[in-house]
Amino acid sequence: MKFALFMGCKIPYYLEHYGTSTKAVLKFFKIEFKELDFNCCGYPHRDLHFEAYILSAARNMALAGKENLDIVTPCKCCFGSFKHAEYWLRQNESLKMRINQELAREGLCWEDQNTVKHLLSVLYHDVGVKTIASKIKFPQSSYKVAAHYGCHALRPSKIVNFDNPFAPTIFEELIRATGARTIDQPTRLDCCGHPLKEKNKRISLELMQNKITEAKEAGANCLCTACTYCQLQFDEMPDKDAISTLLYTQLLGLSLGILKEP
Amino acid sequence: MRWVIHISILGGFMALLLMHGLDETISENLFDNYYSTLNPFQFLRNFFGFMIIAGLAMAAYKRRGSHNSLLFHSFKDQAALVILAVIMVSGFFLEAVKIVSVPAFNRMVDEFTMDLETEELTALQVYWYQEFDVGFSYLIEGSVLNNPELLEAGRETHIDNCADCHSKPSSAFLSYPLAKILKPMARIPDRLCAEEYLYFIHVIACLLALAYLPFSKFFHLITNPLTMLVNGMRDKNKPVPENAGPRRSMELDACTNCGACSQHCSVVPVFRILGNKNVLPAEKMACLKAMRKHEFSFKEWEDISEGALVCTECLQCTLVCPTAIDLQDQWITFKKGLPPIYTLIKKSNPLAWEQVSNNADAFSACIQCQTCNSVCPVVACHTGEDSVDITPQKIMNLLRMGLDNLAMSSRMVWNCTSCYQCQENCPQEIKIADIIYELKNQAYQKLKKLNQNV
Repeated sequence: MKFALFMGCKIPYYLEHYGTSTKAVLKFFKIEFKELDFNCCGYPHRDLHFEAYILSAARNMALAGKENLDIVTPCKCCFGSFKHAEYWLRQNESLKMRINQELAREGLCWEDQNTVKHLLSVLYHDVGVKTIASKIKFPQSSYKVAAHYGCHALRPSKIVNFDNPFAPTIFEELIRATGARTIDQPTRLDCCGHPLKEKNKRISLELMQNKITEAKEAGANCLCTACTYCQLQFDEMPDKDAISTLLYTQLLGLSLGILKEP
Repeated sequence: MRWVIHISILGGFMALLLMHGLDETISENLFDNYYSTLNPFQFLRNFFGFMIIAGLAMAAYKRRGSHNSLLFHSFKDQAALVILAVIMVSGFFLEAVKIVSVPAFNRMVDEFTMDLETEELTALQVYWYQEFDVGFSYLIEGSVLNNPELLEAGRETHIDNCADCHSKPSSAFLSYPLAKILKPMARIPDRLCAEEYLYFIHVIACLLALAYLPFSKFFHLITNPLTMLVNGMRDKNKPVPENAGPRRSMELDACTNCGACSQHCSVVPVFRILGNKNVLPAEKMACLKAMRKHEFSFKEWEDISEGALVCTECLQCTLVCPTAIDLQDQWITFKKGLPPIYTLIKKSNPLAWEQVSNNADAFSACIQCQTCNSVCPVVACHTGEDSVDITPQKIMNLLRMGLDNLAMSSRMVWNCTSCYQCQENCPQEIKIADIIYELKNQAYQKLKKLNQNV
């Protein structure tokens, strides 16, 4: 199994450990990956210009397509952005033609030749929960984990096709595979608030605070994320002692014994 | 005027080519006494040259003048005129320089006279200075040159040796005035070897024109008669599809972009408003020609497609084409070849363009159930001045009323987290979050425009 690994813009500078832990986990499960000359997935430009966004996403997909590789990304916003671009390119012939004309300058072409997967999907579908569970050396039973799904992987479900948008289970199953307990909490599918971080700080923080409060009330001692932006948002938590946040790759790495306690 | 230009240039050029350019093979065999310096040849050469120059001037005026806004000029149009002009102008200057040239005189004397005495030679020089305008003034003193006795002696030598082959240069009515101007300063062209340089320029320009011919407008010399022949013989009621492709391709080469079709095109007003020159038939032909050479960009496709769609197939262009190009057939065939996306516009199916915010079908299904309001995390944070002003469901209402601007400026749009809860939960499957994204895009474009105006 080989993928083109799409890290996205934020990981190298803001969230390096997500990158290292992702690579460690992929290597552990003997999933080959290649990092290509990618650009931004386009997600940050969706507010500005639709075509600029589509071209950004399409170039990455075309680049991986040229190598005959599917893309795997640890970021849910990148994932959603790719899936959306894929959807619009399939829908709109004229858009596709325009984009391909731009891509042709680099000898690239988007012809729906590959697909994009989120890291959790790869672990769940391609590796399998049973396989993961069988490799666990250090079950993380002390963690009572509230899964934070992340909007752009779940919705709109017809486009991203990640899991049931109202009652998803993938993330919880993967968390339980590490030996940790999962806590059901009502806001697990809600927004972390990151998109409003620069636009409306108050609402942004309120959204996050709601989630943290709900998770604590439900009895969780850890919020688990699998998205660059969600994790960046939770890193902004004013009260660091309220609850700990872990990236799923960190949790998995700990239980596999390939990462040290952070 | 078109025809005057055409006859002047074509007639003048062909006559010059046959009489002067190919003199060794044609003129000398036709006429016993052919010498380029004898009349009527000397006169005719100037006359034909004058025809071309006049034709070129008219053509340049027609192309350059702003009176015809339906005519566009390509590099080829200009290149054709420039090459011809270079040939003509260099030719006339060459003739003028030869008239005044002392080295040319000496060369002729060496070649065609028998052992002239020094006095005889001087006399001949005086005679040629006076009557044939050779520029001896920088070599021989004025008192000698104006000596009537020498002139008389020179005339005899001239009649013995030169008169058979030389008419007076005044019959070269264009070169002669030039020579008159050059005569007092004949030293300069002689020093600069201007005669040789001009000769090379003249000949190289001719060869260049010959080499460039298949790629230039001049190619219509060959394709035009062929097209006329083929289209004249063709029975339009019995189409032969196998021949159609090559014929259309040949027609493209035959088009000289004379613009007659554009003048009579029935959709010129549409061109005036849209400003897309590919609405005009002459430009569409140029575009089709270009299409054979390089892959079209999206913009080019868009322009030519618009041109094709605007065309009403009224047949006017085909009727007026002086080359008998079947333009109608070109358009109809081209339209068939357009990628389907370009014909969508005619089918009035806005959904095909997937615009969501200004496409009624995208939001009119809203039943005001307010599900979007209740699942929106941002609406839930409703305390505080910076909360959202309206709800997603109200955005659908604003769009229904055509109040896009109001929707764009609402805090709801700009505080959307794009979590897609509304879209996922909408029982009517309205793309609410995508609509909000698009509103932001439109607002950005508006803002940019506003900034440009400031």
